[in-house]
Amino acid sequence: MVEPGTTVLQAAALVGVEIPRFCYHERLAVAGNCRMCLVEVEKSPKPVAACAMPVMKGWRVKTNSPLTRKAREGVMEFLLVNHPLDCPICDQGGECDLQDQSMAFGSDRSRFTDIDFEGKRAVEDKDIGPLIKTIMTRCIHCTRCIRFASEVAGIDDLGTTGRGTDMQIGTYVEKFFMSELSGNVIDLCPVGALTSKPYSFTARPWEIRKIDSIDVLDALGSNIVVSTRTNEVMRILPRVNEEINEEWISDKSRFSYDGLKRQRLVTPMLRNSACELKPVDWEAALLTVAKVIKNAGSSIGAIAGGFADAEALVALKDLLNKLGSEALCTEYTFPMDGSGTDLRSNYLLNNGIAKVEEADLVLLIGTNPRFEAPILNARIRKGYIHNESEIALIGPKVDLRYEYDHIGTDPQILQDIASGKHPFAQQLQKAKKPIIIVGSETLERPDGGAILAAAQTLASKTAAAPGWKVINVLQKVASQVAALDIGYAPGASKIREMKNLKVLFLLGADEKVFEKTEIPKDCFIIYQGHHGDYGACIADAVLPGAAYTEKQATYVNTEGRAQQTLVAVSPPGQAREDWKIIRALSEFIGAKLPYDTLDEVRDRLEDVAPHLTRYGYSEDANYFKQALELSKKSGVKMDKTSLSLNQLELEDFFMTDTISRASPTMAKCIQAVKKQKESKY
Amino acid sequence: MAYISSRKLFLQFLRSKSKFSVQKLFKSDETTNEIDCSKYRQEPCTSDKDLVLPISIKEATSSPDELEHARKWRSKPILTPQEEILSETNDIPKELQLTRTARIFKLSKNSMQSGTNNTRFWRVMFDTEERWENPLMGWTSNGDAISNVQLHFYTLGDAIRYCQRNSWDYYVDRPRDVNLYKLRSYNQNFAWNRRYRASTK
Repeated sequence: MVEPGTTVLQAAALVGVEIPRFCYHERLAVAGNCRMCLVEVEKSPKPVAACAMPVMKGWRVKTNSPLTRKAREGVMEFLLVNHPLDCPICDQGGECDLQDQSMAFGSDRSRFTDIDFEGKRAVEDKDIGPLIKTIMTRCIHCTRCIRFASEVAGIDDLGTTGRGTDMQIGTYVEKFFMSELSGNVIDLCPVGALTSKPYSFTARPWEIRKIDSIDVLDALGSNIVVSTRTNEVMRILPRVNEEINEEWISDKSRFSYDGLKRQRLVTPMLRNSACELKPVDWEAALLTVAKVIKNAGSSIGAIAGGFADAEALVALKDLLNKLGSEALCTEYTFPMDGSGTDLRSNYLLNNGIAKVEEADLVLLIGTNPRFEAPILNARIRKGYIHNESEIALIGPKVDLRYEYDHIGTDPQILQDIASGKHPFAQQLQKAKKPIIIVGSETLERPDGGAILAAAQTLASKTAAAPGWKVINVLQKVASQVAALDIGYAPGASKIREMKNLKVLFLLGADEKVFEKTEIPKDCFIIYQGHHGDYGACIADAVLPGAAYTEKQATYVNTEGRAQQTLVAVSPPGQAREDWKIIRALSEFIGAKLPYDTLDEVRDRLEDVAPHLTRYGYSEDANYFKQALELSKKSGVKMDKTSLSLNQLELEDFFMTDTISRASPTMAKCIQAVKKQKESKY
Repeated sequence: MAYISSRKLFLQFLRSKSKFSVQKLFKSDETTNEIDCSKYRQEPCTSDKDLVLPISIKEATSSPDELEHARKWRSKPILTPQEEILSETNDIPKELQLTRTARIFKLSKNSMQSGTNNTRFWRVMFDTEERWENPLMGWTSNGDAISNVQLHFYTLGDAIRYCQRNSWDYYVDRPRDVNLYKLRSYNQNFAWNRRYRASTK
C-alpha cells in the first residue's frame, strides 16, 4: 500500500521495478512530456504515462507487457527520427540514457523515410557560458534543464520556443547562464545536448576510474565522485547524499579541478642566501627544518588553512605540544568571548543541512549562502518553494534567487528584535520551526561575540519544539570545524602576540591573515601545502603536501559530520600526504610521534574526539542554554558599523581559495560574468 | 560508518587462541555460519507476505512431491564448515596483504544517468596506487594489479566474509539510507496559489 497520490512510477520504484524515463526526475517537477514511461494499465484502452498518473486502488499495471513494450518502442522511434547518430563523437556516449534505453527498449530499425530528402532536424548551438557546451541538435526536449533552472537554481533563463519540429530549448536571447549551480544541468541532461566544456573530448566513461570522495571547496562537504584516468583528475561529479547535497554540487566544486594541476608544489624547497626558493630533496629539507625547529624550542607557532585535514591537524598539534608550544591557530577567527569554541554548538550548523528545508522561517544574519554554501542556498530555496517558508536577511542586500525580507544591514537590529521593538519579533515568535543562520564571516568582526550572543538570545526566545535547533553558524572553509574540535585556537591573533616567535608553521594557510611585518623578522616560516600561493611566497622552507583528491583524509563539515576523502590520484612529484610529512619531520626533530599508519593516526583522532572517525554521521552539539548564559556574561558591545561581506556578486564566487585561484576555468567564469553584466540582456 | 579495522580484530583472534568465531566479533545479522539461501537474489514482490491469499502461489503450483522435498530441506539448514583463513594458502603476495586496505561499499547512482542497477551490489575495492600514461602507446599503466580488482557481492555479509577469509584489512562504507520519498504530482505545476507553480515551459 502506498500513500494516496503516489504516481505509478514511484509506486513501481518502491517495489523495485524501474520504469524507463527521460523527462522525469525525482528532484524536479513532473513534466510528463517524453512519454517514455508509458505503461499498460489493465482495462485502460490506452497506455498511461507512469510519471504523472497517480495509482488507484485495484489497478493492475503491466510494466513489461507487449502493449507497454510497443509503446516504448514507438516513443524511441519518434525520438530517434531527429536525434543525430553521432554517439562515437558524443561526450555522453557510454553514459547516455538515450543510448541505453534505445538498446533496451528500442527497435532495430526505423520506419521513417525522409521523402523530401530534408535530412534530420538541425538546431543551432547556443553559447551559454564557459562551463556548459551545447549541441542542441541532440536535444530531445525533456525540459529537465529548464525545470532545474527555474526550480532549484532559481534562474528562469532557460525555456522553450517554437512548437513541433521547430521547438528549441534556449535562453531566448543568447546569454551566459548566470548560476552558481549551472553544472548540474550537464548531469540532468539525459542525452548529449548539454555536456561539460572543460571535460569535452578528454575521456570516455568506460576508461575512467571513479573514486568516492568529499568536496572541500566549501564547508558543506558535498559528496562527490572523482573520475580519474592516467593519474589525472578528469572531472568531478556529485554523489547522492540526501543529508547534504542531494544530487547537486556547485560549479566551484565541479569545475575547479583543473586548478589541481596548476601552481602545484611538487618538490621541497628552501630559501637560499639570495632569497630565492630552490628545490631540494626531502632529506635536506627535513634536516634543515628540523634543525631550525629544534633551535626554536617552544617558541614555535602554527596556522592551519582551509584545506587542512583532521589527520594533519592532529599530527601537527601533537608535534607542537610535544615541543612545548600551544600556539596553534586556524586562519579564520571566531569570537572567544563567552564560551567561545569550548561548546561545539557555538560554531556548528546545529540543525543540519537537510532540516533547513523544513523550516518555516529562516533568518540569515550576515551571510550570503548563495556563494558561501550554494547547496545550502538550494535547500533554503527548496523550503521556499515547497514549504512556503519565509526568509529574512540582516546584512548586505544580495541576490539569493528567492524573495526575502531585507530587514537591514545594522547588527543593532538584532537587539531591537530581541526586545520586541522590531516588527520582525512577532514573526519570529509565531514561527514553529524557525532557523537562524549566522555567517562565520560576520563573527570575525571585533564585535562578533556580541552578534553571536544576540542571535543566541533571539533563538532562546522562539517557540521551537525541543530538538529543533534554532541557532546555526555557517562556516566558510572545510577545515574549520575539525580544527576547532581538535583544539586549535581560532584566528591568528595568538601568533601576532608572540613576540619571541622563531618558527611559524603554515599548514596550507594562504589567505593573507597576517602580513610578514607582523611577525618577528628572524622568524623562520615553514609552508606545507599543495599550491604555490601567498604562504609559499613568504616561506623559507616549502614542504609539498597532497590536495584533497590525493589523500585519504578526514574532513568535518559545518554541521559536524565527519567524512573522508579517498585517494583518487597520487600526489604530483615528490609531494606526500600531509600527516606523513609531519610524522617524518617529528622523527628528524627527535620528538617522534607515536603513529606509523593511517589506522594509528585515526586511533589518535578517536582519542581526541571520537566523532572524528564516525564517518557519515553528524555528531550533535548541545548546551545552548549554557552557551547563552556564558555569552551574556562576556559583555562585548555591538558596533554601529553595518555588516559587510566579501562575496556579494557572482564574480566573487568563483575564486576564493588556492585551488580555485589556480583554475583557468574559474577565471573564464569570472570573465564571462563580467561580460554578461556589460551586455544589455 | 564506524571505522572498523579488521587488523585489530585479527590480532584479537591471534591472542585469544580459540577457534576463530565470526559471531563473536560481528553482529549476527551480518555474518553467520548458516547460509540462508533466501537472502540470495531476492526478487522484490514475490514473497508471499505481500499477497493475501489462502494458499501461497508456490504451494499452489507445486506438486506434492516438490512440497515434501521443500519441507524437508527447509527444516535442515545448509551448514558450511567453520570459517577458515585462506591467506595462508592463497597466492596473494604477503606484502600486498599487509599494506593494502579493502573498502566495502555500495556504488552510488551515476548522476549522469537514471539507471540504478549498479547500486544494488556490495563491492570490494582496494585503495588506489599510482597510475601513469604509457609513453609509447598512451595507455594507462600501473604497477599494481590489485587496484583493478572490483568484486561484486549480493550481501554485505558475503563481502565481509571474503575479506576475512583472505585476511584483507577492510572497512565498511555504509550508504546512509534516508527516505527520499516525496509526493510529486503533475497538477502541482498548475497550482494557482503555491510557489511551485511552473513558471516556465
